[in-house]
Amino acid sequence: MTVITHAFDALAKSEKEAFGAPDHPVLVVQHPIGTVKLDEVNKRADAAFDKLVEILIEPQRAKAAVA
Amino acid sequence: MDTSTLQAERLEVEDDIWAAQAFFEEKGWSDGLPIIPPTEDRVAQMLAAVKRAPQDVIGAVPPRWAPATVEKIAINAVMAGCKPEYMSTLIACVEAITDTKLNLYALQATTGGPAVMIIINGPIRQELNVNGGANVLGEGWRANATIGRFVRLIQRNVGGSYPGTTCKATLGWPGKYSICIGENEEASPWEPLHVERGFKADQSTVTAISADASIRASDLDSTKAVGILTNFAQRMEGPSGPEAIMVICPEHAKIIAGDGFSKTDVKKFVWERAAYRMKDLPDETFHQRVKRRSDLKLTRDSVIPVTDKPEDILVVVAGGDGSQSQYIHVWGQSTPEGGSTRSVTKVIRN
Repeated sequence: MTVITHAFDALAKSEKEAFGAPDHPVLVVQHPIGTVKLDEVNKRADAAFDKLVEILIEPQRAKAAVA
Repeated sequence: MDTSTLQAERLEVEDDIWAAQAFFEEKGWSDGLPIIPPTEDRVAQMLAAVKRAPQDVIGAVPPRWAPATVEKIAINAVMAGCKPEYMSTLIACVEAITDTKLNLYALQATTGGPAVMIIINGPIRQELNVNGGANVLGEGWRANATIGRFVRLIQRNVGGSYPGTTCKATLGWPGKYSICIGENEEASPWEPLHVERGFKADQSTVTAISADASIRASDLDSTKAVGILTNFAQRMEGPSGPEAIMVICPEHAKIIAGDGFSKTDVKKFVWERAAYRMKDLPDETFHQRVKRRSDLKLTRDSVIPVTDKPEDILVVVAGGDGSQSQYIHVWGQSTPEGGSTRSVTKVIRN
């Protein structure tokens, strides 16, 4: 799977199509990360964690939820 | 030539230059500047200039990873305003930009927004009238302007690199429209770039390299190499890159070489001085840098040189009269593996 920020969502979709993998699971998180304080990054990571696990364990079921 | 074998879709557009521009703009097939409509006749003239089959694939262009065939190259060459005699150079450009070492995907996906700079060496410069002299990084020469533009159109029209979505440049810079120079080999006291890289002097090459906006390294005061190079090194200070480009003007090059400096000496001299000093950084930035380059085991006493090794600096002599050189930072990360992008040189075959 791939984790990206929403600013790169269109690029990720383009890559999935280019490589013939439209169902490749992608978790989209809030942008930006690079200039955000560490405690805020940790909060976002905690918030995304359950979804990330779901995608890893049940990618087919999670696909609809993420898309 | 027989155009019936060409695979591109034929599109009917009103026979009016304004209508054609509007059509291409609406389709997103332009860099914003007007294009030359790629009619069958014009594309055929491009293809007739090379002994390559139209469907030969030269490389895959990211982010769409679409095949850049000779036909697609010819179409974009027409659109960019190239002449048919540029075709073999354009094919070499596509070979260079699709070489995995350049990592074109990253150059386009990054928010950093570098251009893909083309440096041309060898006799082809005279044949195509490629400028390596006055105003070399500016306007005025069709070959420089349109070969550089062609590279951008290939990224966009074949690769699918569109600003804001698949090209993530925060700002970009005007070099993204076109940046193509010839080395002024005749005014250089040193071996040209392509000879340094193992090609013969009578061969012609293109070099593709990641390029950020340049910084002028003006020096009208120094009459000795150490002065010019110390001044140049000061312009190069800051976060490092996998490579760096010194565009040295002929007047500076003459003085530097006259003081006995070889190209290797030039690189070593600036590399030892162009440093990013850890002691100057705020704590937060310092700690992030330490994590980013854990292989270097950075401390507050550390300095990061402009590149990991002196030989990663490219020295190119170009420009006309005057004591004005320029430094071009190379976007990308220095990494223990050799960097996230590396310049690529390809020979031009007729």
